[in-house]
Amino acid sequence: MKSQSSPIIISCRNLTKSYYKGDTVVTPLENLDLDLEKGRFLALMGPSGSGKTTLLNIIAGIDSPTSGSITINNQEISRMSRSQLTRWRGKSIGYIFQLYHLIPVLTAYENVELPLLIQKISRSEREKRVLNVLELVGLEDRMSHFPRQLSGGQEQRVAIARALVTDPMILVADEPTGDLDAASAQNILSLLRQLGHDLHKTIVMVTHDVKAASYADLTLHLEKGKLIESSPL
Amino acid sequence: MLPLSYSLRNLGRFPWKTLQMVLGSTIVVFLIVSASAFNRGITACLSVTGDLNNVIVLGAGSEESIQRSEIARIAPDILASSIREIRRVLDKPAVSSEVYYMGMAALSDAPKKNWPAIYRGVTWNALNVHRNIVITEGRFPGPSEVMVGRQVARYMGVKDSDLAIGKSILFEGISYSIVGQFQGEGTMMEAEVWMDINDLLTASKRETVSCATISLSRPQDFDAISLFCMQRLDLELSAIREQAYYASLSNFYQPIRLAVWLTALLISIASVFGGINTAYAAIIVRRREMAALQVIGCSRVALIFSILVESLIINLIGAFVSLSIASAWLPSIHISFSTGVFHMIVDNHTLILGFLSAGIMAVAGIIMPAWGCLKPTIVSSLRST
Ligand SMILES: Nc1ncnc2c1ncn2[C@@H]1O[C@H](COP(=O)(O)OP(=O)(O)OP(=O)(O)O)[C@@H](O)[C@H]1O
Ligand SMILES: [Mg+2]
Repeated sequence: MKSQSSPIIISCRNLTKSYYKGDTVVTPLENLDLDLEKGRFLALMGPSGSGKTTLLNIIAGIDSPTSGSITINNQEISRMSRSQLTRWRGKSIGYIFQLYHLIPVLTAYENVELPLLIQKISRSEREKRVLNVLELVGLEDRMSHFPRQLSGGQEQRVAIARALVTDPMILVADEPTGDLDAASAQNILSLLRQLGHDLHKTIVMVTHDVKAASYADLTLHLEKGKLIESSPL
Repeated sequence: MLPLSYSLRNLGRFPWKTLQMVLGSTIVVFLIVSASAFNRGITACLSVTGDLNNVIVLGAGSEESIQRSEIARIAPDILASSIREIRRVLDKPAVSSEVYYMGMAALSDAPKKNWPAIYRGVTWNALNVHRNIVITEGRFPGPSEVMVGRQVARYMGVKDSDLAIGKSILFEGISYSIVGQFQGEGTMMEAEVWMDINDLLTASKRETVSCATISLSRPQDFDAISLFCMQRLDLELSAIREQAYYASLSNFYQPIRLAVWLTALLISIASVFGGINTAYAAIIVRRREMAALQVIGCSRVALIFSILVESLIINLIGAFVSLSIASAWLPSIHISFSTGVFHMIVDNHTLILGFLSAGIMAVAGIIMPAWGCLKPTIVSSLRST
């Protein structure tokens, strides 16, 4: 455990999520509790279908729990309206997808600039921030490339830059290396760890891969709807 | 809000689909504009034909048709001498005795071939009554002579040069030389051949005239003529304002107008559905992208707005293309109908209608795809493949 004084940034209480498909009910999360301190890098593991993505999406404010509460930075986001959540997400969450989800018609620079445009940030400020994060991910020489002109690893680095550009409290990543070869994956993971450390970001990463999880400073397993703390073997 | 460049570049994403949508919009706008230009043309032609101060006195029972109407040859003279409210020109009452006859005409150069023609037998007084008729060349016809309106060649389907002054036409085997040409401010009379009333009575073997057209000093004096017709039951006359007469003719063409609109609308609807389909296909593939945009903080309103911008660009290009074609081409199209020739009218009204329908299509076209993309939750859109 790191410093005892770090405040709790993500707090889940009795979190339950059920999906209804006709007559069958799936409950990937059941009375789940979680407290995560600010600045930690958490790896979420668990078998396929165990609810990792579901939990991540609830933390990111794009899904809502069926019952229970989730508080992030002392704000109970499970009580926010859809439009409040959208605005909150834009400022507080940086989401990194497995399949990057860059906008194909926009260049790397424009993709990274997009969240700032949505937040109506001034042009000069945008330029400063975009150049800064592109430099952080090492892509300043690929700014005017379109996603199709980039490798998978480069695309994911653009996506990381896009997630960082709004300076969010929390980065969430759903199998960010799931689609990459081993070398690129390592590259991305050390970048994530380093940026998380340097910029004091809290990171929640879903992964299947024990090696990926080893980059985090904490690993939790999802089993039967609950989180179990255990060190990967 | 998403940047405009995002909308613009999305249009280049599926160029073929974009082109298809532009084309669809062009066709729809063109159809609607053409239908409107047609209807405005026919209405305008009929409405300018009536003079507010003029009254047509027809045979009782034939109020809808000058063609069928018969009144005694003496009736116009009786009207002229009995009603004081009639306008006077050079101290003579402005009453025009007229025979209206739809027959055939042949050119003296090609006597075997016959074309449809509309004849109006008149006296000099006709020009005092039909004040918008202006002789542009030559002179008023005397016996065995005619003058032709500027649309006669079009109505008959012959060349303008066939009806030049100095040529002649054959009507019921008799030759009439063309001595004048006139225009009438777009009225239906521009499609008529005017000749001496006695010539026409003889040629058409009539003993009665069709009507008397009367010019009043004040439109409200119509009642005086109406009253006269009711009192002189023996003459079997019926008075109708010239404008009302052509307005009722206009009603007669109502079914044609409706049919034109209906055809345009039906083809448009089919085309709009095709467009919606294409738009749906082009936008639904962006479903995950739009979910990702929402994840990074973009609101659904902003997304709808950006799709709407794309749709507006497509439809406005379509409108621009078809309105350019329409304003260059449609006004030159003249259409003959039974009693005259009119041309299609493209004016501000038509242009506004064109842009309006493009705007409506822009909105209608994105409702379904926007619903398909933005109704599902972000999570299920992200999970979709
Ligand atoms: N939108 C949804 N509608 C219905 N069922 C869903 C939905 N999202 C998830 N589920 C179900 O909830 C369960 C957990 O799904 P989730 O995607 O969170 O699993 P996961 O741990 O991320 O799996 P994987 O490792 O395969 O990505 C699964 O059984 C899934 O079928
Ligand atoms: Mg998952």
